[in-house]
Amino acid sequence: MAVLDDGTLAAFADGELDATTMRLVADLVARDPAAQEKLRLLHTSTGLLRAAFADPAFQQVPPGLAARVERAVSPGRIGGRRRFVGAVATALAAGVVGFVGGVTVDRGPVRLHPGFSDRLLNEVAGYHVAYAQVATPLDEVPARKTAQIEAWFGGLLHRPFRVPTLAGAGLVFRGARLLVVDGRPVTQLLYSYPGQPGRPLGLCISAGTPRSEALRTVRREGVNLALWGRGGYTFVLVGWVGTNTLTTLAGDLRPQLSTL
Amino acid sequence: METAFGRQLAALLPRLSRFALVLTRSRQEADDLTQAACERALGRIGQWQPDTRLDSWMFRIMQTIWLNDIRARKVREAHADQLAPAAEATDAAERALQARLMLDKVAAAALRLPEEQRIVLLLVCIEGFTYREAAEIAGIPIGTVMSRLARARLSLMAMIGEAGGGSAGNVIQMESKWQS
Repeated sequence: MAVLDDGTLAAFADGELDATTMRLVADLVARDPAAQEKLRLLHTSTGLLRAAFADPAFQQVPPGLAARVERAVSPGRIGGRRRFVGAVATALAAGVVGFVGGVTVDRGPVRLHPGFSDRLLNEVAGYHVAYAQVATPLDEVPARKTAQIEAWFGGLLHRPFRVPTLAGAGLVFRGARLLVVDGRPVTQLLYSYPGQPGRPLGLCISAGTPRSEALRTVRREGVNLALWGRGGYTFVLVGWVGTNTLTTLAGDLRPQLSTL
Repeated sequence: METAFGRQLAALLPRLSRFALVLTRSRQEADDLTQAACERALGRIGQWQPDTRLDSWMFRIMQTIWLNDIRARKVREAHADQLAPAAEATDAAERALQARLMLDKVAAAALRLPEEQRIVLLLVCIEGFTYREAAEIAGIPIGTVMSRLARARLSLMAMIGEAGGGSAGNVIQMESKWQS
């Protein structure tokens, strides 16, 4: 027997409970503001952790190790494994003396895999459709925390950041969340038309684009998307609106995003 | 088969390096642990079944090496204890660069969590293993994964300044079941 404690809430947040228990917990959470807040924290923590540890600095492979691993198992390289052992033993001996405790990370240039834009479009469309099916997205930071969102996204995008307005087009800023594509954080701002909270419009921004891209519109997963690249950033608009509307909205956003 | 194994293992190295860094909290030791895990795997290549997940196997090997290294570990913990105040001392600088360093702060907070919490946090939240897979890799019951994971995430959010609420109001008796 177990209680609806923090562990159960975490399992619920991670979709680790069976369907019956999920429904039972969902009913209880809906009536419990404290549990709702904890769920929000649990969801947010996952997004933050994935973004934080997606930094290439945390995935630096010891110099030469990949080559040594491949050499060690290559046919005709008898003795390769023995040389590998020697290298490890030396490194281990050095490590005992070299421990300094603090973790220093070196941030090299961002490396995006080929075809990033297409994968970004696919992932954004997939996330958008999936999230729209959740009545109250638990990992969304609400619009009332705009200052925190701007500080958070400014850190991710390495520039001062202000949430752009689409009020002129009748859209209300609703909140923000974080996606991860190819291990890179993708910020997402959400807007919606009054009375249509379940059909949000998303503005995604990802840092690290090496070249400019002209605006293009595509349709994926039943939603329309507009993508363009400028100044080292890729922008994507996604929603259940026509491609002409997306193009117009992109035009409204460009001047506001010029600080990036 | 060995060539394919080598390619797969080489592709896995960035993730292994990250796991090692979360375990050791030291770049130097992480490099050493990554290399030691590779050596262990290469020495036991015949034990790996090609139709099973290499990443789970490698994470388990790395975890085992780390846990078995008791004597050196005590030295590490002594050093870590001494270093904790220094980490706190950097908070002022972090605040000054709050926007830029938000994710650094998250990572730093995660690395300050107890080791048993860091392990499940990385396996589930960052690597995306299921609770059952994480339990097998870490060699602990699934219920322990669940409780450590919740504690780690709520502690992390409190450490980075997100308010942690009290206990949930509802306390129910039920049989927790995991998806199989």
